[in-house]
Amino acid sequence: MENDHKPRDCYQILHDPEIQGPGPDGSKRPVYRFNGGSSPTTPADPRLKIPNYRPGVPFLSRKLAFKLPVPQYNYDPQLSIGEAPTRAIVVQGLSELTTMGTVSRHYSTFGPIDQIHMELHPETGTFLGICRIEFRDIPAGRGSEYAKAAVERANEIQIDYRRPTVAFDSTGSRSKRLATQLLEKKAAEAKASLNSKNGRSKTHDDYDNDNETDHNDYSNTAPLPNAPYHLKRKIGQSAFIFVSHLDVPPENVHLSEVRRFFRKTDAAAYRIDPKSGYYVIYRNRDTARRAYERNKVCHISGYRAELDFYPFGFPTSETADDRDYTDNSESNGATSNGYGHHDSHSSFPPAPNSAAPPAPIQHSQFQARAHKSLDPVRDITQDLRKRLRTELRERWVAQQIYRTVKRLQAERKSQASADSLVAPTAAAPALNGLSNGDRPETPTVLDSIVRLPSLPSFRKKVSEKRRRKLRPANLDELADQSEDDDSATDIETDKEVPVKRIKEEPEYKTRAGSLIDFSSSDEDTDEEVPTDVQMADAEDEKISYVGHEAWEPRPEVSIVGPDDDLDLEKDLDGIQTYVRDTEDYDLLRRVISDIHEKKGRSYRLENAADVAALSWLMKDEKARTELPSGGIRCERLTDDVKDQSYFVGATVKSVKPAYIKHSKGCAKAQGFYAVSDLEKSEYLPHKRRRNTQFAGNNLAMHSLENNGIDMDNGSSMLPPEQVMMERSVSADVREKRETNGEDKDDYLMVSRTERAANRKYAADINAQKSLAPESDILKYNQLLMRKKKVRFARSAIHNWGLYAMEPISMNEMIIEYVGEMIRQQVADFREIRYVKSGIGSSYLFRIDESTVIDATKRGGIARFINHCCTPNCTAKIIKVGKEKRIVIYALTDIAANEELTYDYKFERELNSDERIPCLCGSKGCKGYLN
Amino acid sequence: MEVAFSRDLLASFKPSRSLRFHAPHSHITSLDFDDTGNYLLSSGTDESLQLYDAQQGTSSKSLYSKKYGCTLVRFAHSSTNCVYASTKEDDTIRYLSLHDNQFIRYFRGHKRAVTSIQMAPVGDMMYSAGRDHTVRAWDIRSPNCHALLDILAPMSIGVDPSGNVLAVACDYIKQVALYDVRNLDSSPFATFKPNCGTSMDLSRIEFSNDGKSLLLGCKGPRHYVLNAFSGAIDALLEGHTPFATDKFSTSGFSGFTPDGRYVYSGSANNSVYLWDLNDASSASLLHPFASLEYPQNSPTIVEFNPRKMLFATADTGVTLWLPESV
Repeated sequence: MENDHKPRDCYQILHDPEIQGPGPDGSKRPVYRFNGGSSPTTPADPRLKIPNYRPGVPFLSRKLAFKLPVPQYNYDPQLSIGEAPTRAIVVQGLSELTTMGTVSRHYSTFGPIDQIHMELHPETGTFLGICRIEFRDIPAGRGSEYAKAAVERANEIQIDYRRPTVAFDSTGSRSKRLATQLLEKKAAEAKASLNSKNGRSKTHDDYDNDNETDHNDYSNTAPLPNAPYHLKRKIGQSAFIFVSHLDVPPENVHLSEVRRFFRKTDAAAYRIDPKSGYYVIYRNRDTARRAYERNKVCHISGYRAELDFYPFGFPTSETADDRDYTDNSESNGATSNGYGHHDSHSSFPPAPNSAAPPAPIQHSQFQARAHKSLDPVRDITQDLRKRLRTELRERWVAQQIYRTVKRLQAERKSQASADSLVAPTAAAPALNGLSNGDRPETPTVLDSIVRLPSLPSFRKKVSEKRRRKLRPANLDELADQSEDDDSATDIETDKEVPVKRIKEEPEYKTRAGSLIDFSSSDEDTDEEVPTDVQMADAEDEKISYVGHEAWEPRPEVSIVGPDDDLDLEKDLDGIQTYVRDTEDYDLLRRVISDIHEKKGRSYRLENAADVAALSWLMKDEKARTELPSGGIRCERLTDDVKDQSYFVGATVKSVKPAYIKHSKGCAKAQGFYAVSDLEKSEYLPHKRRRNTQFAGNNLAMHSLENNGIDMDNGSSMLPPEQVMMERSVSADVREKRETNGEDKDDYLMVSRTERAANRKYAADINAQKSLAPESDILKYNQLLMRKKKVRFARSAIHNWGLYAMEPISMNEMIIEYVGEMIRQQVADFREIRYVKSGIGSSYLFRIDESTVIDATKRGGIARFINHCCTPNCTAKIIKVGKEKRIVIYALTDIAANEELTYDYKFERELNSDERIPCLCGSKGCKGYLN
Repeated sequence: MEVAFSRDLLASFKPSRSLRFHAPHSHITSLDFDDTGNYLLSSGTDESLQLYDAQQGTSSKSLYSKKYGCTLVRFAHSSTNCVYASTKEDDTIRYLSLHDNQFIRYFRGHKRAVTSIQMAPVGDMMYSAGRDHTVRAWDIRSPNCHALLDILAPMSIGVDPSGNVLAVACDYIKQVALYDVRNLDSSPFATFKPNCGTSMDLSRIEFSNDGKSLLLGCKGPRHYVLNAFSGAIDALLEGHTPFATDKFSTSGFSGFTPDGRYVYSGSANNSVYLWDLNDASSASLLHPFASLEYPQNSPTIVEFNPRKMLFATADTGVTLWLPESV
């Protein structure tokens, strides 16, 4: 390259038209100077001409710089070299009580936190005060910034009065290291302290040293006051403040003055002793201390007194008693301290000079508690002693006294006729001081009541309150054993007792409410005692009902179920419900063994085969004469020829033949004749009331004579001959029932295909809808497609009901409960209005908290479905599209012509006066709708 | 937050960003920071120009010069314009607008490859040296060559901080000639012939920012620091490993730091070496006080940012070095 150098002229431009414009002669061509021009001179160093040659002649681009800024690059995973800067920090020096939440809250001021790891003690699990915080990397790459900020501004954070130190900790090794260091340090400390105490564990002396500062002031170098014995006993170990008689003379200054002075200090008691001074006793050592600290010198009535504070009262072991004002723990602590110091408080009163107990008395509460924990046995025995005392008092002593009283009463009764009001002076002192079961002057009033001619006052209500004035339950047991039963019953036979109270078999007692109290008059209500005695006696036999807080029907109305009424004899099914296990069976056997033959019905059991055959026969007959909903047939045990049998839990017993012989030839010719309900009930299923007890929803129909069974509307009284005829009729029923079973499967198949077809139809409709969204014509209720064939008709339960026309299988949708959709407030308003206007039934059905469907005036036929406690349907709320709808589903397989029922699920209102009685008459009837 | 130059600071530099935006296996032939220090341009054998944001440490733009090829790219005083030498077709220097990728001007003149382009510190002058034994002066506002200097084999040129002196280094005759920029057609006012060994193998000549020193960066084992006025050797810098051969001329791997006290140089052992000139007494052999290693990086080109505490090295990708956080 160097070889081919051909020297050429150098030039320098003089005028450049591009920059300077056209030349003076107008030419647009550059003008050059070659080789230095005509007179080339050796140029000098131009820099020397510059005065103070210095770089940075104005606006030099690359100027001299001694300091330069450092750009900061954020971590970019692709471009950055090296690892991402750490976004985790370790915080050290926190309090052990600090929670993760607190730490998180404080440090999230720097940035969002990803996770926090607290270092815990491996054995105790306590927080060591070291925790590692990792910040989130959101937005990307900022995590390290948060960590950096946290480290820089570490001193801004103060948690639980501590300023923790912060450092980076990328891998977590640092926090672990710190934790192990801390643990080692702690272990070393513990060991050191252990060794220094010659290997003993921390004793009360150590505690003493710990808490010395608190209680040094009250070291009580002052001698204890010379209090009288009873006062010392009273004060015991309690803390008290003492005002000496030398300062404030007790004869001049009343205790109330002292009391006034200390009134704000929450003292327990004030005592004055003329010889020593005033004692202000406290329950709590701390309050006493505070009171003392507040004023160590007091001015009472012009006298200046220096107060003395004795935090531990008179520390002797003998004063330890229940009467101690302060905690038992304290007293125990004080006495059981230091096992070798008993000699100082062996006897009381302590002599003044030895009153200041040696150092261990200075122990703090903590020490006292520590002592307590050292002697649990003592505490337990004390506790037991106390308990024993109270128990004895309550249970045994009271009973004994009561017994005595009763005995005295009985004696007095026997002398009642002879004497007039005799003051039972003997009994009185014995009763004195009893905490419970006080019966002052009981015998006198009782006597008076017995002898006076009693005006029967029919007191309907026996309030529950009254009932509870009985003796406490534990004494009831005594009552059983008492010999007063005879006398009690004697009293009772004087009065009229309702027939239904059968005394021989106490278990079958009816409810207490049936008791009619024939005491003298209403004014006698004040004397609860006599009635109590009566009631108590009556209650004796009703032990099983004491404490029954479960749901009960109202007491004034006797609702006797078939289980309660002993006069009802149940049929085989009924008896079988009694027997639930082998024990029951044995008992039953025993009972049955002496049953006597009944007229017209003798089922004598010869042998086992007969038994089986017989039972089958009974059941078969029953099945053929009843509708499918089963039940237990009961018969009344009376001497009537006509057996009064009725069904409980069954819908109908039998169906009268459709054909009635009319004398005139045909029904048309016969003319109009009224058909009684009873007869109607035979061929009209809805006339046969299911629940005869509440028939007509009218409680007044209850009459106590016949146990509330309304004969008119309920029991169908068919002569036995007719039963035979029923058989032929009911054979059809039987057949039908059998065939129903086969139909079911087919029906299921059909319904499935139907449902599929419906779904397709629905999909089509929806597709159409989407094409023409405005059209209202295609508004279509999907649920209508799934509706089963049902019809409404008169119902045996109540008025109208809904019956299935076709068999419905389980879990099938039957019908939708259609009505007006209204808000909760509107529903409330309407409810009141309907009740006012006389609509007794409620057709408001709740969808959700704020919406209700009202089918009272407008709606579908689902409103006719009645309530039953053992329903065959249930109501569900499903969402169709966006709306919620109420839909009735079948709970069980429903046969054709069966009434649909579901559980209304009213709110249970046990206390309400207007409970709606349930007319369903099913076996599991709860009795009330709500 | 500004930090002052110090040996500790310089020794603490660490590679912080690795920007590999040139085509793989293509070498970068030149690096240049703009006047503000915010941008960095690199040209590569893949005929592309890469613009980097030095403030963020990310890539900003890619520009291609597939028709002419590019090398020796230099920012103009405006951060959006640059000049570069063509490698294909002919050897014109082209003035490119970076933001709209349009050529502004061509500077035709050189008949052979351009070996060095330098911008004057102030003003619009630009100087270029080529293998056609010429050093040309251009005003970037005009396509006309403003001055021509005929000199044998100029390898590298440098402009002093005041803009008055042009130093031309001729490796062949081992001399450095100083010219007055206004009188390039005249003879040089000073000629330095440093007493060096066999061949200087010059790669770069640079004035320090304080104007007192002149660095002769060589591909050989030794760099020379001369007194800018007298031409006396102030220091001989040794200790680095010289690069083996160069297939292509680069813009240099040695230079002064902006404070003029330290000299850096890339080394074939994947390190950057640093010398402190205060250690030097006259004509003494100076050894580096620190070496910054980064094994993944062969610092064939090293360039210090004039306005920020960062420098860039490049071989196939650009590495940005930052000092360790204080």
